[in-house]
Amino acid sequence: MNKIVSILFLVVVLSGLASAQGLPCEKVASYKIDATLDPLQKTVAGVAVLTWKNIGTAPTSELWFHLYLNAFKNSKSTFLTESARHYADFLARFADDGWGFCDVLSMSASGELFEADLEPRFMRPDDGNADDETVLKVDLPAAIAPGKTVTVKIDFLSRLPHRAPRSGYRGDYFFVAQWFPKIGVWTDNEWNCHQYHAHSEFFSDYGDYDVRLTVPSQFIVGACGVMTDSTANSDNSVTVRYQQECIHDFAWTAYPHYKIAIRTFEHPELPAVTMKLLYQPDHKRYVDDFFGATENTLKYLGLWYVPYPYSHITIVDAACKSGAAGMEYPTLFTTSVDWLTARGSQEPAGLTVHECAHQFFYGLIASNEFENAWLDEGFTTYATSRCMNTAYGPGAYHKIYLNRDGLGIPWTVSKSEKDQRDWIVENHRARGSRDVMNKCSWDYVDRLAYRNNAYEKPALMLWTLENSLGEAVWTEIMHAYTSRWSFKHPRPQDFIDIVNEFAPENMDWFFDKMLNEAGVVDYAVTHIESNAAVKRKGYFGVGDGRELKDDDGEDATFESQVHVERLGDIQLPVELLVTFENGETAANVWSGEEPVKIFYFRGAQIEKAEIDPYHKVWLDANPLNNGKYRRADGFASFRWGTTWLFWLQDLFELIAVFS
Amino acid sequence: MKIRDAFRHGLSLVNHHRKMIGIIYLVNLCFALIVAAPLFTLFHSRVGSLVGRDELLTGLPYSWWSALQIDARGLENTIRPSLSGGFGPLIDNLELLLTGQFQLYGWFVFSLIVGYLFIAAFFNGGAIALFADERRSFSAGRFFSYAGTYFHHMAALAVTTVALFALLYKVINPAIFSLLDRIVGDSLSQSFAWIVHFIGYLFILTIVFLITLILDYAKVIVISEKKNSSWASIGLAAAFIFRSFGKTVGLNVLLAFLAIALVLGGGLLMSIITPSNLLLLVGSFIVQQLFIAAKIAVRLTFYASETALYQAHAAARTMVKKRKR
Ligand SMILES: [Zn+2]
Repeated sequence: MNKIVSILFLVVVLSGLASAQGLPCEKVASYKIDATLDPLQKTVAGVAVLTWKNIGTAPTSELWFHLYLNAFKNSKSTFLTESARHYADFLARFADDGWGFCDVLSMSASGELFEADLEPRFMRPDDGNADDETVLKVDLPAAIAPGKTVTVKIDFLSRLPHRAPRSGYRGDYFFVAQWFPKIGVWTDNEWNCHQYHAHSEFFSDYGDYDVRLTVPSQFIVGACGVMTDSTANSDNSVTVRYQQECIHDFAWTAYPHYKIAIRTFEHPELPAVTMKLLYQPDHKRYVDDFFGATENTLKYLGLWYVPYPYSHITIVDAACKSGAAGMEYPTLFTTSVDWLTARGSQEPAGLTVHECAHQFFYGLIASNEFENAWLDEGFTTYATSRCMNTAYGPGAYHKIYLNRDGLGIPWTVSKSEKDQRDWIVENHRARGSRDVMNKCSWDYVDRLAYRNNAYEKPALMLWTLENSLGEAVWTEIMHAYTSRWSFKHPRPQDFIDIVNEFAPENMDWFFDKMLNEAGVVDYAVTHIESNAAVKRKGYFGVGDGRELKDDDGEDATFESQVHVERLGDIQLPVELLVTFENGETAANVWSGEEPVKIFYFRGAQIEKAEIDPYHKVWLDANPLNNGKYRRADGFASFRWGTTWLFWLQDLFELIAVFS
Repeated sequence: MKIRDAFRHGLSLVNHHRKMIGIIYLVNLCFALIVAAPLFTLFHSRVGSLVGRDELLTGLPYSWWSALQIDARGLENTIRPSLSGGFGPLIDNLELLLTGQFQLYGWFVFSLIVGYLFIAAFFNGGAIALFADERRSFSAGRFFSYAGTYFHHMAALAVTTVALFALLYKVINPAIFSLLDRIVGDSLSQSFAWIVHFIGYLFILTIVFLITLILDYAKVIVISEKKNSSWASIGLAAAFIFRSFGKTVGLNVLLAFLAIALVLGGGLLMSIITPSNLLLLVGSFIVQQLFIAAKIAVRLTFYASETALYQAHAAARTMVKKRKR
C-alpha cells in the first residue's frame, strides 16, 4: 500500500517540480549528496559535492563550514555546555553512548585555477571553546574571485545522537538534520559561520539540492524537496532521490512505521501545493488536523504576505521524545501531538501552524537566526497567533488530569477562553525585563531571556505596531517586507526601513526602544473620583462686570479626576477613554512619559476609565489594571467567593473518606 | 442479607436520621466559611471595580486569571480556571485521591483539611452508632453523645487510614510507576504508554477502594461489637470482608456508583447554570450547597449500608452459634 502511495506521490510531485522551475533565488551553495543510513550503527556515511559561488565584492581564499553534529560529540561542546546550563539532566540522554558527531574524512576542491586536497581546521569564532568542533575552516590554494565558483568534494561520516534536540534517533526512529558539512555565509566580505549553540543554528545561502539517500528497504523516508526517483537495491536497501531548487538546507527522516497521507492545497488566488504527511501509527485521528493547520497557514500567510513558492510541502509528525518535533526545514517541517489532547489546547494545530509559518519566516525570508533571532521566531510567533486567531478563534484553558510526562486525561474548561496572544503576554510578563532584543542568541543570560526576546516580545511588538498603524498600512508593510526579502537575508534595519517607508511618521524611536531597552510596558488606571463641583463663590469678572456670586455655576455639576500610572519601564503613547454616567465619553491621548498623570474632567460623574481601551498595545504586560469603574460591585466577588467555598466544601467531604 | 437489601436498608437508615445530614452540612459550611469569607473580601477589593468584572460571572477568562497571578496572594493562588466549569472543582478534588497531592493548594488548605478530617471522624462515631442502634428516632443529644463516646476509636482509625494512604502515595505509588515506566521503556507508542499508566491508576484506585472498605468496616465493628481496641477491629474487618468478599465489595461498588451518579448529575447541572445575573447567581449557589448536602448523605449511606450488612451477618452467625450449642 505504501509503495502505491509513494508512486502516486512521485507522479504528483514530478509534475509539480516541472511547474516550480525558475524560483528567483541567487544560487550560492548547491549540494549533490549521496548518503547511506546504517540504522544499527546510527550513522550516515556520505559524499557531498558542493558548488559554491562567491557573490561578494571581495575574493576569499577560505571556506568555512558548519559541522553541527559535533555539538553532540562530548559534554564540553558549546551546545552541550550551554544546554546543561539551561536544562537539568540534559546530558543523561547520551549516557549509553548516545553521542553524535560529524567527521570529515577527506576534502578536496577544484576551482578555475586549482585542484587540491584541503586541510580542515576547527574554528571557534564565538567563544574560543577549544572543545567545540562545530565550525571548520579550509584554506584554498588560490582565492575565489567575486562571481567565480569552486567545487568542493567532501567525504563524511555522521553519527546521530540519541534523542538529541532537532537531529538524532530514538529506537528505529531517525530524524536527520544538520547532518552534512554545511557551508557558512560569505557576507559583507567576511565569513558568517557561527558555532552550533543551544538556541540558534540557522543562517545559510540558497542553492539547489540533489540528494540520494540509501536506507534499508523497510524504512519510509521523508525529506526536503521532492522525491524524483526510487530504486530498490540488491542488498535489501532502497535508494531514494530528492531534488529541490532554491532552498538553504536539507533534512530528512527515516522510520519503518510512518503512515503516509497525501492531499493537495488549493485556493483560487494561490498556487496549488502537494502536502505529504508522515504520521505516527497511533495518530490517525489527527490527520485532518495536520492537513487543516498546514492549509490554513499556506492560505492565510500566502494571502497576507507572499504565496508559498514551492509545489509541495512535507509534514512530519515526529516520534514522541525523539527531540525532532517542532522544527522547520525548507519545504519540510516537524510537528507532533499527544495521543489524547484537550479540544481547548488547539493542538496539533498550534504547533503545526507555527512550524509551517517558518516556511515563510526562515524558509523564504532567510534572516540570520544566530544574530537576529527575532526576525525568525518573533515574526513566526506573531504570524502563528494571527493565523490561529483567524482560522480557529480562541482556545480555552485546559489541563491534563493524572498527568505523567504529558500523558493523562485531557480536559477543556470551555468557560475560560484563551486568545492566542494570551500565552505570549503571559510569558512576556514574567520575563519581559530580562535583556534586550538586539543581541546574538547565545549571549542571553538564560533561556527565558532568550525566549522573551526572540519569540514573545517581538510578536507583541508586531501586534502593537499593526494596531497602531492600522490594517491598511500594516498590510503594505508586511507585503513589502516579505516580497522584497524573499530568498534573501534581511537584517532588522531592512524591516525598519520598510516600516518607515509606509508609516505616517518615522518609527525609529519605537524600534530604538523595542530593540535596545529591557523591560515591559504596563499602564494602569489607579484612581477615579467624582466630587460635587465647588460652588461659585466670590468675585467674578472685572470692572463694571465684576459680580459677587454664590451659586452652583453653569458648566459643571461634578469635578472628576482619573489617575493613570506608568508601571512599566518602557514608555509608549496610549489612549485614555473615560465614560460618564450620562453615557458621554471623553477620549485623550497620553504620551506615557511621566510616571503618573492626572486627567481632570467637569460634567457628569465618571462611570469608568480605560487606558488603551481597544487593546492596541499588546505589549502591555498587565491588561487587568487597564480599566476601572468608579464604584465597586460585589457580583464577581460573590460568584468567585461562593465557587471557591463550594470547592473547599467538596474537598472537605472528599477528605472525609479518610476519616 | 443481599446487597440490594443492605443498600435499601442503608438508605432508609439515612432517611430516618436525615437531621444528621443537616448538622454535618452546617459544620462543613461554617468551617469552609471561616476561610472563604476573608478570601471573598480580598477578591472583592481586587476585582470589584475592574472593567471586565462582568466577564467573571460567566467564567474565568484566561487572560484575567493569568494577570491575576502577577500579585495573587495566599489563597488567591488557589483560584484557577478549572473552578469555573461545573465539573472542574469536583474532578480537581477527585484527582487528589489518586495522586495524594493534598498539599497542592498550600499548607493552609492542607491544615484545614486535616482539621476537617478529625471533625468528620467525630461525626462518624455518632452516625454509625445511631445506625447500629435499634431505636429509629433521631436525637441530636444521642448523636453528639455517641460521637463523643467513640471519638478516640474513630480518631485512631482515621490516623491509621491516613498512615496507610501516606504509604500508598509515598511508597507504593512511586514504586508502581517506576515499574510501569520500565515496561514502557523506549516504546515510541504513546497509546501503549497511556494504557500502561491507566492500568497503574486502576491498580491504585483498587488499593484506595480496599483500604476504605476495610477501615469502614473497622469503624462499624468497633462500634457494633463495642470493642476496646480499634486495631483489633481492623483485623476483624479484614476477616469479615474476606469471608463475605462478594457482598462487601459488591455493596461498596453499588455505593460507589451512587456517588459517581451524584458527581455526574451535580457536575452537569452546575455546568448548565451560567450565573450571569443575580437570580442565577443565587440559584447556582443553592445548587452547589444542595450538592454538598447530597454528598454527605451518600457518605452516610455507605456507613449505614455497611452497618446493616455487618449486623445482619453478625446476627446470622449468633443464631448459628446458638443453634450449634
Ligand atoms: Zn519557531
